[in-house]
Amino acid sequence: MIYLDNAATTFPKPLSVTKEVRRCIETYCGNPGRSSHKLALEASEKIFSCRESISDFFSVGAPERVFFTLNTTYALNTVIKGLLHRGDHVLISDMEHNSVYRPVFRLARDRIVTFDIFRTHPGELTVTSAERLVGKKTKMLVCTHCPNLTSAVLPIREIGRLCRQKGVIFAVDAAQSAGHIPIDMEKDNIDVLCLPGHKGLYGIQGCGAVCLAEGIVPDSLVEGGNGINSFEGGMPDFPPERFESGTMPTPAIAALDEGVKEIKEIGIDNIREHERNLFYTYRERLESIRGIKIYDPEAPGAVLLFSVDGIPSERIAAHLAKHGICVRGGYHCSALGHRTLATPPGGAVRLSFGIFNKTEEADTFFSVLSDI
Amino acid sequence: MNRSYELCTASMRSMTYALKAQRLLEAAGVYSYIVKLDSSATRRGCAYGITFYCASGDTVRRILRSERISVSQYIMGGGEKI
Repeated sequence: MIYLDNAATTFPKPLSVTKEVRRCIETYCGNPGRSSHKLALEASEKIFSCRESISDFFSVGAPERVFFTLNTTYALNTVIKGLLHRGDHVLISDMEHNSVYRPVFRLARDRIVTFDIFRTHPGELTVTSAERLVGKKTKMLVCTHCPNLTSAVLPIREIGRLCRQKGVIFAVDAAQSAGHIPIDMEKDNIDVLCLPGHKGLYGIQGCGAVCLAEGIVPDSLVEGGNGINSFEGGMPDFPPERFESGTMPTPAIAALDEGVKEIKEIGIDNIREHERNLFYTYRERLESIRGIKIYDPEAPGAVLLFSVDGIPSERIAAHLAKHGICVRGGYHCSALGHRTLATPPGGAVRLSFGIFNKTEEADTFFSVLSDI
Repeated sequence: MNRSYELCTASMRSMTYALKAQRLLEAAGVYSYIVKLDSSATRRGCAYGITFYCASGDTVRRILRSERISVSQYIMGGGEKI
């Protein structure tokens, strides 16, 4: 099997991650932050360790400002719905995944907020496009760091600087960049960073995270028990417990902790170089095939999107799948992005690379692709 | 009783802050352990804290204050070690 769908979820996972999940389930998976016994404490310690790892890796500044969610979509929903209030204006980019677009759209449909979409193509005009749309009521700018369709990278440091100047909260969707591209919350002027656990950080499915800058405390999205202040009706007013109701997914958080350690050990620059080499290998061979269009071809990285004249993307994906090659066709939950890139009806085929892919796999890929 | 062996407890906002406090104190060479506080001793229900030797009290207060870790209350006596 050749797995080229790492933007959806990375596969396989590092052995250290698999081992830690098993160790967690077998030896310390009590209910964290609840009871007064050894297993509950050990689970809490592992979760705190993961907060520390993430805080250190993304320069959050304090482990308690890292909280866990089910995934990046829940992270973004918490932030968007928890920070925006009636009358606010919000900016998003034209490459957003539905995890950003839909919560914003919903708030706008319910007449709670208004929003505008800034342009990202051509890349050098991104900041200017955003700046033109900032108004008196603009409360937040939320955008992807790296879209899920191509390897284009938005200039988050410059966008963050703009937000600082204008007094706008800057929230970043790092679903496709965490673990692929260095992110420094302080230097990049980020107020809120939303992360997946199971993609470039090589944890397992079941947890994502939000990192908050000091002083940013959204409303809670979900309320319930969390082991403290049980006699009070309201949720605590401080992170992380304000946002963590119900039993935490300790095995997934343990996996994420181990995944971050693995990324640190390999080195993010080495990962980036490896993914770029794969991108160039596939791009070069795709370019030699007549009728193929590559989107954002000059932005090398972990994701490569292409379409073939006259052949629907899902047909190509199905053909590849039949031969054990995993890719993703269609619209990738990003109507905005596909419109921006002007992909054909039916979308495009996405190849997405990870640390376990090898350049030699390209031979098999192109042999199968040429049969269609 | 020799004060060196007396135990004190700092009540924290949550397990997260208790763990953070314990790690900071450990880095400073101060022994402490996590306790779940007796619910009847707190005003709001379930709570966690750290127990330490009272003799280290000044150091504990200084470190927690400098790291802006909120302490709901300091209590004489130690909690049951988890």
